[in-house]
Parts: sequence; structure tokens; C-alpha cells
Amino acid sequence: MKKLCFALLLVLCLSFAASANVAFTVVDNFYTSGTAGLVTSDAEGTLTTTKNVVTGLNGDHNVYSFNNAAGKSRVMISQYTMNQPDTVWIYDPSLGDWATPIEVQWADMSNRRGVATIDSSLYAIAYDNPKVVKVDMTNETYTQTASYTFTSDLSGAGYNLHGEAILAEGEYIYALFTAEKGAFPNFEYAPSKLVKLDASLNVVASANVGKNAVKMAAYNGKIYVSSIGGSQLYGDYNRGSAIEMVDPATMAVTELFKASDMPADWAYDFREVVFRGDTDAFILAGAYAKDQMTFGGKIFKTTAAEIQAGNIGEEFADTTDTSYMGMGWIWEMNYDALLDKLVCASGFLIAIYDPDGDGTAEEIDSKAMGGNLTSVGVIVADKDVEKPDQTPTPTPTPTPTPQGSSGSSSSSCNAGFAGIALLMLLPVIAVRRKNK
Amino acid sequence: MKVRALLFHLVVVCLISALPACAADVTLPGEEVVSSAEYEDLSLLSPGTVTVVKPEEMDGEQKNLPDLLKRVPGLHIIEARGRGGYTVASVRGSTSSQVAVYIDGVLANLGSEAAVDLSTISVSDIQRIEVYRGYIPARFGKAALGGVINIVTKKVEKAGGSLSVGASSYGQRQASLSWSTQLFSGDFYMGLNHDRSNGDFEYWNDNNTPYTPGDDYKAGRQHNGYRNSDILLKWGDANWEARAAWKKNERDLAVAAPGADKPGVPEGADLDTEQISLSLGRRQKAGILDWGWQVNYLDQNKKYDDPDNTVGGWGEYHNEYDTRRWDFTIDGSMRLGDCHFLEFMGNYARERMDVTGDIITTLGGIDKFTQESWSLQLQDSIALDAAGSFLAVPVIRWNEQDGEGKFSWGLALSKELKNGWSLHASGGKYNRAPNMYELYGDGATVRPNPDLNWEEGMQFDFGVHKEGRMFGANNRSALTFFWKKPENLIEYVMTSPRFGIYQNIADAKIYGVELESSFIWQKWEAALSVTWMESENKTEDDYRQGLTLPNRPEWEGLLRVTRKFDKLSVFAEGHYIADNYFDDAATIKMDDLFTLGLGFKYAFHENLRLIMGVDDVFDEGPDVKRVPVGNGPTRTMWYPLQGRTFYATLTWDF
Repeated sequence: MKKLCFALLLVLCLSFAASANVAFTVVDNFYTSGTAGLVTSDAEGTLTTTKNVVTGLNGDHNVYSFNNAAGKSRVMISQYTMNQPDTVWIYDPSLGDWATPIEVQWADMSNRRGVATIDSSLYAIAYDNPKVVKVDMTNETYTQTASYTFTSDLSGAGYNLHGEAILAEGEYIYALFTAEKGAFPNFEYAPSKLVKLDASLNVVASANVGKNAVKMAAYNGKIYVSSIGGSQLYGDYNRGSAIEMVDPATMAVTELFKASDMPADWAYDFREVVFRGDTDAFILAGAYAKDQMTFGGKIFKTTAAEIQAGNIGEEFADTTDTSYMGMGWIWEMNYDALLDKLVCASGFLIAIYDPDGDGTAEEIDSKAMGGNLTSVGVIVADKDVEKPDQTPTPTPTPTPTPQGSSGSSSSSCNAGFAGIALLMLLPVIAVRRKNK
Repeated sequence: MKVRALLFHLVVVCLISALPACAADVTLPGEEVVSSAEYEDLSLLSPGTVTVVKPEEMDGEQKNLPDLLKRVPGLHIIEARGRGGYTVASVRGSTSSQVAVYIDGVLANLGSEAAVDLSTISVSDIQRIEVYRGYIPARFGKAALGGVINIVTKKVEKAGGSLSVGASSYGQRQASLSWSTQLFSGDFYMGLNHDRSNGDFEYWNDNNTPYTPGDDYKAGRQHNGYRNSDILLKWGDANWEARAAWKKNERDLAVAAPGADKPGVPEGADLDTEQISLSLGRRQKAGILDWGWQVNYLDQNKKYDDPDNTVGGWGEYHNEYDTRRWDFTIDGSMRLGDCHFLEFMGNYARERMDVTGDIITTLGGIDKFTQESWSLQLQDSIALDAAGSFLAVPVIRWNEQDGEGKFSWGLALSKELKNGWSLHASGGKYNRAPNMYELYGDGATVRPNPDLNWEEGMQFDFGVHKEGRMFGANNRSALTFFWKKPENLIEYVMTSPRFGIYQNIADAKIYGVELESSFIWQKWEAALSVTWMESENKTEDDYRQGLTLPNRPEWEGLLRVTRKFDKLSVFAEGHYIADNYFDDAATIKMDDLFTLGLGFKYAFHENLRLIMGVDDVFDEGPDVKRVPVGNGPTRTMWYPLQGRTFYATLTWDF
């Protein structure tokens, strides 16, 4: 009996000790095969990286996290093959079973760029075709039930249309599309389009935003769109790069930042905005160097209120200030509310920042991950689980939802629920022993 | 550099002065070319490890060059895109760039290419293939870290000709005509060949959904064919030799298989290569010096077409690469005293490549590359005992490319024992200069790295050889342990799905054992080659540190058994590969593969033969899968292997 109680106690401790917070995918040096891994935090915030959790990926993939129809956390790995629908593997991270995913393909989805959910529906957007698909998540079936195709007069003018990002805000879906023509490296862009869709994928409204818009974030009822402003340049930046705020109710667009209005030493495209609760906002700005291998940029720290006033704040971190010195292709930010960390894809490695720190990153490098980074995402929490030690927010505020390869900004250890259940068992066991 | 050269000469002088007096009738390697014994005296080719493959022994079996090389221990064929596709060799765990390939003394490696594509070299005109591992004799200019494959085309032995026509599965057709005659004071040889295949074999495709077997489908491989044609003209007399060769390789570049090979999926791109090579040389004796010179010219045009923009979607629809190379070689040998046989070789080469197409107009690439290189080798075969049974063969090389040069050296020791036993050991330092693409990139998606260092490494081997009688049969066997430690390996690293750069980012350690044995007993013949190899990536602070290198199988072996009757002979050939990783993170393995081939040869009369057979009797090739290590699905190979193949060939000598 003593042994049983001890074992239960041990499991109880362990159940609160560690849970996977971050998922990532990596690729080999030749972009021919890849794997996925996890970063786990213990109660003290010590990170442990586990590589090769899933093996056998192809050479082009992204990881996302979302809540299923029952509000449970799920991890999606989406693999891209040109001229084919993406191969999607969906995992339940709480099971620890990474060998038997649910596998699906959605005919209209090729080269996925983001997912969002409303209730029992998942919405996905992809780059190769300007489409949004609606997927029924009931009973873990994940079957496509509808799709929306973005059309534009720009097609007649020779522009190619692409899906870039997607988010859910309230009962609506907001899908971001770009239009380009020409050939690498001199693509010509038309203004991007933000389309407001209802849950059935009917168009409600739309707005023009900056050229080559790549990321969106929702905060306090507004949508913030980051646009590169044109073709991605090497050793230069687009003067038209901007961060714009869109009012979903009216789809009115307000320009908050524009590269041409920045100080004389500005040399960056605006890439992304991420919000940290009601306190801070972080802006990623940068451009690829002339060598086409390194990314020179900055992360700026400001506040949610200041960002609306067009104040970019102070430089928080330099993207080249890592052991790989800015080398690599993937650059984006995610906010992890449970860890209260900025989890960034920084080229070949993951850089994790303390939002209140000095901008020094805790790095997870290629050696730890088992390859070169291709995507990283925060694993969302179950929606119905009370987060341990979570300080209640003073006013009801929509939870920021970073887009693209990242999951929700809030996450908690699913094992906490199991831990509570175990706690409840102990007194019962003690009573039974007493009665023996 | 001067100090090292001085030290070497000092060692040589000491060796010479310490030698016992040699008998005047000691035969030193290099003084004879062919032995009259049942087995060829390989020591005449190299004091190190060398294997000779004679295609005529497998005449009519429609084996291509990679198939013939699979029977060489220590050599692994990397068929990245299946049979007839881009195919390179790794020798004792080397990279394919480190393997030097010669055809009649002309280096086939180009500065504009990563490695020699062995599938583009026709076998119909080949008399013998020599594969040197470990010690590289001085007559080969490169200090080849990976070894040398020397292809020797047919020499005229008698006037006459041969016509061969054949067919095999998946639309393969083959025709060869050769003819030789006396012409003026010498002999003339002509060879014409054509070989084509559709490569449309069937295999099970997992539809890119490896966890959903219900949607798997039987697919026929599409756009997977090739069409190869070549002409060889040779003339030679006692002193002169002239050679002209033309070849054209048209290759379909199939897309990766999973989810492909069905209606609506674009087929892929095309790669056509046309090459002309001309050689002129002369050999003569001047007293004790036997020397010669050779001048070579090569002109190659390579066209890449991707009309549907299926490869990467980068907008590269058409590119064209024109390469021209001149090289001049002088070499010679002479017996010096009773115990020394000196050999030397000097070579100068100049290469230029011009590029046109979308990579220039759209991507702003570099349109011209040049490369200049030269080398000097000096080798001495030293008899260390009066009987000439103990030999030391040092070699020293100087290789220079585009103004940067390096020394390398090698030493081989061989000792003949009693009853046909002998011991062999060799070691040395080797190197490889970066090629044009590695240094300068292409100006578009391959970024330049002018600071690249040469690859370098050390290697060592020790072997026991036996020739004579074993188990009642005539036998030749060799058991060799090898070890090599390459450094500064140049590898291509993709920093994004579009861009990449060559970097010195890897070190490795490779060791293993080769076993090669052949038996001849009455009407039976058997030939066995087995290789066991361990390879390890030694690059520090890298995700590959401590992992097995890709495409270096731990086990590989081939056994061929032949039974001769009066006019008939039957043969069986088994080939096995195991524990072969595909990726440098050691997370994807290839299914272990055993294939069995059966066939027979029937001589209607002396000049007319029919050869029929089947390769991969059990159709194992298409069933080979990519097998993950850990949590991951078994998947269809990106480029599936061709399976059971029936063939028939009729050969008429006239």
C-alpha cells in the first residue's frame, strides 16, 4: 500500500512537472527529409528539447497547433509536395503517442500557410491556390465540407493569387491574400486583400492592405497586418513596407508604421506583430542580406497602446545576435503565455526571449533539434482546462492568437488535469486503508 | 613545403643506400602489362588494392557500368534516381566527388560537375575496368581521396567485328556494332552503340499518405526513360594512338514518386548531354626511358528543359551549359639500377564553362567559369630484397588548381610469402580541390564561397592476399582492412528552399573490411565480394555528429556462380545491401535489399551466342521503401527501384 501511495505521489509530481510547450520541424542540409520535435518546460522553466519525436517527413513542412471540436489541444504537421494536396498528420499531444496520427489530405490545400478554428470547424489557407477550406472536426474526422476561392480582377492582369495567413476573430474568419507577377527575384506585387468570411465561407467584406502582406495578429478587437511592401529584397528593404490596423467591424484600414516614414538609419521590412496580453507588443522587422543567406533585423518592444499611436518603442533584440549570426530562412515570432516567453524562429535555430529581459536569447540549435529549423509553433492549451498559477486578467480581453505556424499564445500542461484527478484519489485510498 | 620535400628525398636516399644488392633479373611492377597466368597479376597495376572487372565475362546480360561496378568490394553505387538516372560511386565511404574516373587516360571529372555520372558511360566498348582503392599509382594525376576508376576501351586483337542486339523489359532496346581492322601501319577500331529504355516499371505508390493504405495505387513510372548513343573511333600503332568519341545522353527527369505517376500530375524535366572528346598521343623509348605524351580535348553541351516549371517552380525553364577542356599529359618510366623502377607523370588542364538560359536572364547567374590545374607525380617501385619479393612503392604528388597547390604522398608495401600468400599495406595523404561551382556558385541559387579549403584526408589499408589452390579449386582471395579520415569535407548546405552554399563543414571517420574471392573448379566458377563498413560523421557541434554517413551501407555483397557446359553456361547472381541510411540525420533507412538474377548463355556456334536471363527474379526492387527510425511511417521511395527485368541478347562475331 505504501508503495502504491508513493507511486501515485510520484506520478502526481511528474504530472505537474513537464509538458510539451513548443513543437518544431527541421530539415536536413539538402531539404530532402525532416523530423519533428518538442520543447518541454518543467515547473522551474528549464527547457528540454527532444528531437526526432516524429521522423520520416519530407523536405518541406510546417507545424501548427489548434483546438479540436471538443476544445482539446492538437498538433498538426503539414507536408508540402508541389502539385499535390498537403499531407497532414494530426496528433493529440496529451497521449504522448507520436506514432499513429490522423492522416488527411484536403484537395484544395497545397502549401499551407495557416489554420484557425471556430467551434467544431477548422479553416485552413494555402499559398499555391488562393483558397480557404472549411473542415469538420467532429469526432476527429477532419473532412473538408466547403471551400472559398479568392478571385480578383488582378488575375486578368497576369497576377498570381496566393493565400498567406488566416485567423478567427469572434464568429468570422479573416483570410489574407497576395497578388504577384513576374519572376524571381523581381516579383511585382499588387495590394494584398484581407477578406472577411462568415463561418460558412461567404464573403462579408474585404479591404486592401499593403503589398506582400505576410502576417496577421488580432488584439483587442482589431487586426494588425504586416506587409513586406513588395518583392523580398536582398541587401535592401521596401520603402512601402507597413503595419496596418484593420477594424473588423468596418474593414477600415489605418496605417500605423511605414518604412519610408522611419528614421534615416531604418533598413528593414515589417514582418510581424505579436501581443503579450495587455502589456507589451513586439515587432519583428528585417530583411535578407545581399548574400541571401542571413537575415538582418531587429525585434522592437513597445506596448499595445503605443503601437496604435505609431510608436515602435525600443530595440529589444538584434536577430544577428545569435550563435548562427542571423543565418537561415525562417523568421517569425510566437508568444507563449504559459511560459511567458517569446518563442521565435530565428533562421536555423529557435531563440527564446524573456519579454522582460535584456534581449538575450536562450537558443535551441540545430544540434539539439536534429536538423535545420523549418517551423516552430506554441502548442495550444485545452480550452476547458484551468491553467495552473494563472493570474486572472483584470478585464475580459480576447486571447491574442498568433497566426501562421504558431498556435495559441496561451497553453497549459494538459497533465495538470490528470494531476488534479490523482490528488482526489489519495484521500480515498487513505480512507480504504483505514477501514481495512 | 620545401622542408617536407627535402625530408622525403632524404628518406628515399636512406632507403636506397640501405638496400641489399638486387638481382639483375628482378621483375619490378610496371615492366609488364599482362600476365599469362589464369589470374591477371594485379601487382603489375598497383602495389595497393585493385580490382579488375571484365565486361566480356558478362557480355549480353545488358549490364550498365554501375551494374558492373557493384561487384567491386569497397565500392558503393548511389543510384539517386533509379536505373539510368544520375548515378555516382562512393569508394570506401568517400563522397562521389572524391572518386576520379578515367577513360583511356583522360580524366572524366569536370570542374563544372559534382561527380562523374556513371550511367552516361557506355560499356559496349569497354575491355576492362580497373578500380584502385587506397594507394593511387602515379599515372593517375589526381590525389584521389576516394580512389580511381580507370576505364580501358577495347584494343584491337584481330580483324573483324561484332554485332549485338538485345531487348529487355520496360521498353529497353540495345544495339552495338564494333569493327576493327588493320589500317596503314596500325589497327583501327570502331564502336557504335545505342541503348534506350522507357523505365515504366510498376510499383505500389502510397499516394503520399503513408498512414492510409486504402488509397495506395499501382503506378507505372512516368517520364523515367533514357536514350543513349555513342561512337568510338580509335587508331594506334607501335607509337601513335588517336581517339575520337561522341556520345549523346537524353534523360527524362522523373518527379519524386509519392503521389505522382497518375493523370494530371506534371511529368518532369529533361536533361540532354552531348559530348565530343579527341585524344592524340605518342609513346617512344629513349634508352632506358619509356615515355609518352597525350593531348586531349573535350567539348560538352548540356541542356536542361523544364517547360512546365515542375522542379521547384523557380522559373527555370531552360538552361544550357557548354564546357570545353584542354589537357596535356606527359609520362614515363625507367628502370634505375637493379632495384628501382621510376614512374612520373605531369599534367596540365584548362577548362571553361559558358552558361546561358533562365539562370542567367531571370536569376542573374554567372555566365562564365574557368579553371586551370596541373599536377606532377613521381613514384618509385623499390625492391627491398634480392628476390624482389618485398617492395616499397612511395609516391609523391603536387596538385595545383587556380594558383593554390598542395603536396600529397602515399606509400605501399607488399611482401610475397610462400604458397601464394602475400601481405599488402598502404597509406598516405590525399586531397581534392574545390570545383567551380563549389567556389564560385552559379550566381543564382548556389552562393559563392571563395574561401573554401581543399578536402584532405589520411587513409590506410592492410591486406592479406592468396593465390593458388584452396578447397581443391583455383582461387584468388584478398581480405583487406581499410581506414580513412577525411577532413574539411565540402558539402552543399541549403540555407533555404531556394539558396544553398558549399561549405567545409564535415569531418568523418570510416573503416571497414573488404573480402574478394574467386574460385575456379572444373566447370564451376564463383566470384564473391563483401564489404563491411562503419562510417561516422565527426563534425563537431553539428546535428550530424556521431551519426552514420548517408549512402554508406554497413553491408554490401555480391555472389556470382557460373556453371559451364559444352555450348551452354548458366549463371546466378545475388546482390545484397543492408543498413543504408538515406539522410545525414540517420533517421531514414533504405529497406535491406536482396536481388537474385538468373540467366544462361548458349553458343549456337563459335560466333553466334544467345544470352537470356532475368534480373531481380523476385521483383524486390519496387518493394524497397524508405523506413524511418523512430515514430514515422514507411514511405514510397522518392525514386523507386526498377524490379524484375527480363532480357535477351543475340551476339554475332564476324
